[in-house]
Amino acid sequence: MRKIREKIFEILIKMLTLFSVLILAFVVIFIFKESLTFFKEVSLLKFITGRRWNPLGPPEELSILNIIWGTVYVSLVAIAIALPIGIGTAVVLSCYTNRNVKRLIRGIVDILAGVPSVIYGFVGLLVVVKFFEVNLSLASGESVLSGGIVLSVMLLPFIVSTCDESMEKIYREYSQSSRALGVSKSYMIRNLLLPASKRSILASVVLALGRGMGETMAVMMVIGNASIIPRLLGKAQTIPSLIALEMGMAEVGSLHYHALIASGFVLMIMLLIINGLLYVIKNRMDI
Amino acid sequence: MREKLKDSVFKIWIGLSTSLVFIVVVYIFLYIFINGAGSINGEFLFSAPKGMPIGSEGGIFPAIVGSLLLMVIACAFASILAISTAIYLVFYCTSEKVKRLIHLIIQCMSGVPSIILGLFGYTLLVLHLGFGRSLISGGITLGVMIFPYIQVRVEKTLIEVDKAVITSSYALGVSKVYTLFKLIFPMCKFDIVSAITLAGGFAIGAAAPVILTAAVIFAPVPESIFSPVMALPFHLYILTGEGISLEKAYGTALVLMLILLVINIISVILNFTRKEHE
Amino acid sequence: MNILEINNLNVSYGSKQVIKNLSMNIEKNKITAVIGPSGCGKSTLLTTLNLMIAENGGSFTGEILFKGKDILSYEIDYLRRMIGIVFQKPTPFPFSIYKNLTYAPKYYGIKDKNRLNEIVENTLKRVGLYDEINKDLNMLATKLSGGQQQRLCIGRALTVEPEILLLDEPCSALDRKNTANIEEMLLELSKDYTIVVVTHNLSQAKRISDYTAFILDGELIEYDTTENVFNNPKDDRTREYIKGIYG
Repeated sequence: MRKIREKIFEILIKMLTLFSVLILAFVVIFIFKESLTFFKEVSLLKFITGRRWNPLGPPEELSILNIIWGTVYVSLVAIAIALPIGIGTAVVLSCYTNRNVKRLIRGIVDILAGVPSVIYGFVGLLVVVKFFEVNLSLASGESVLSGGIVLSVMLLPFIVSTCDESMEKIYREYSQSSRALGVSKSYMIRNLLLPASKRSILASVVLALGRGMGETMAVMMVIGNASIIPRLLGKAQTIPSLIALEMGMAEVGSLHYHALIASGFVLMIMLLIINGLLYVIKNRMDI
Repeated sequence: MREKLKDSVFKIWIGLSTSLVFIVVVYIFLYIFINGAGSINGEFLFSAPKGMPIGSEGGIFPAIVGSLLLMVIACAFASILAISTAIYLVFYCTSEKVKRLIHLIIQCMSGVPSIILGLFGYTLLVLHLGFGRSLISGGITLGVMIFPYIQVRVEKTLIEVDKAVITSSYALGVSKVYTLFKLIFPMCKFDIVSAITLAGGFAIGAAAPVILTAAVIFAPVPESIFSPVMALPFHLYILTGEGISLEKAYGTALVLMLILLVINIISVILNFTRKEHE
Repeated sequence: MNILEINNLNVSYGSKQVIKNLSMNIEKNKITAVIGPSGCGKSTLLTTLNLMIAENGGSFTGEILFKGKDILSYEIDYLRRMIGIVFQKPTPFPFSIYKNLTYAPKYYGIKDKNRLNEIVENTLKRVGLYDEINKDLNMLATKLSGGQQQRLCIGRALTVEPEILLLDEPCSALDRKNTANIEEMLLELSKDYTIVVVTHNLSQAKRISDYTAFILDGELIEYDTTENVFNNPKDDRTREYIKGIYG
């Protein structure tokens, strides 16, 4: 009797695990399948190198180069902003704080990570975009720069925690011997710790890039959603925003519909490449 | 002297960075609390949106209910799968290769952007399976999103149980299932519930997946699992994006933040209770 | 009467052999001490006897007979009831003393409140904890002192009514007084149970055991009555070991 119960439980657990693990396969397969329908009509090459996104036609043109570029551009801007701030904070965390202050700062960074992206978009729209409109008298404050600023706040936690982890280890290992040479802490950080952290900084950049490119709401609300060639102070469009905005209006089964899914597929491939990079970098880190 | 200059610049840089982080957090919270506080009242919290365009008057009650229900369904779906997977990996799986493969898969899942999950939910649940824009489509999609989050934490909790205690249980001739339910779960329950709670917070704030699978601009409190719902993040987006009501938007943002605050407080309380228990 | 017969036992973890061709018999209702330097295979011997060796990644060949029957022919849960084991580090379950002691009985289907209370009371008396805890059965077991925890664990092993009790260095984490307590308890228990104690404390072996087995590098060097082993060791290695630590 008991044996049967044990066996049933074991089988149940195994099946649930299998199901969970297959979900990823489902996701990938579905997206791929629906994209294929699109790629039969429009070649992949044309899709990602063409510049016109005009689903309503005529003529109906469905190419997302601008949008791919927009996705990457916004993330790069965000990283450019977040990186110095993130590294600076990580340095303070790993080298200048005791246990309690560390917990406080980490807590604050965690809070940042916990704020939903709509809230960031909301505040970004009302504060950042408005700021640009008022102070720089642009016709519209919605731009790649606005998107970058808002996104940078969201990427900060990733950069801080990745860098902090490895910097702490490096600091602990070398600070004593460095101090024994009579060298100041700041000197040691600038000339020893930071260069030694290059790899983990790179890893954090790649991680943040991946996260940034997948971000939807916050960016969508401040970037202007125009599928044109992105300029720093101009409007642009990202793949996630494109999907979120247009999926509702695309007729199910239409080419537009499949194009949107295909763009999701392209996004996933881009992320795959980036994560592959991350994996390679991580494995060449001796940590 | 060069050194002194470099040193000063350096210190200014790192000090500024850390201060900036503080400032941003405080600013965001204050901004929402101050601007939104005015909108919060009984009517706002408990009645449905009204007015023309809809939402410019009235309240956000259906959105609050919708969000909470989505969170519950997502947590239920995700926990069952996540806890099972964690149990399997810690107590039943003997092959290192399989463990590594499953860990890799779960890590990949956590890297899938929420919009892609929304896309998946849309094509599979809403269209293919015909559930339509509904609580269940959104709930499952959100569940997939938070599954890795819960799984990783539960697995960590299970692994940290003192092996000697588990061995003692087996040594009494007691079965694995009995040990799991009568010994290990009671020991881990606070951590597991805390993980699920935090994951719920994560789910409730997500807009991208629900835009495609569950949320509509206006809906009443849902009647069944197949009804469409309103959701707080989506409602916030609509109010702002369509320029319907700034005032109500602030209020919605504040309500969302307050719910998240409560969820996090619950998690902290759970952690405290656990420490007391030990 | 021999309750356990071990014939030509070989135990290995992967390619590393830990016990080599060991044969000995354990006599019923007596205390057998297993002594030897660290890492010589004493603990492995115990975990093989209750078939936990496989879960630790090891395997064995050879024959082990419990009450005349091969231990592999017994149902594993039943075998573990019959051959109980207590480890070096006390492992009280993180609930009350009462729950610790009713954990296994409940598993075996005992639901009657009165019976459970009886079991708890008797067990606590057996291990000498009954008076010490002042009737506070709901106290969290982890709040007990180290020695009390260990006695609780021994009691817990007794709740399933084993015939043999294996103890792996039960006192090495305890102070003198607690050690004395437990040794006294073991002497009492041996009237009803067969006891095998692994210990590195030679005085302890001398104090409480009827038989002593000396194991070195996985091999059984000498096995005889305690008196003979300590006063008249037949093997030089035994003599050296005893002198080295004891003398």
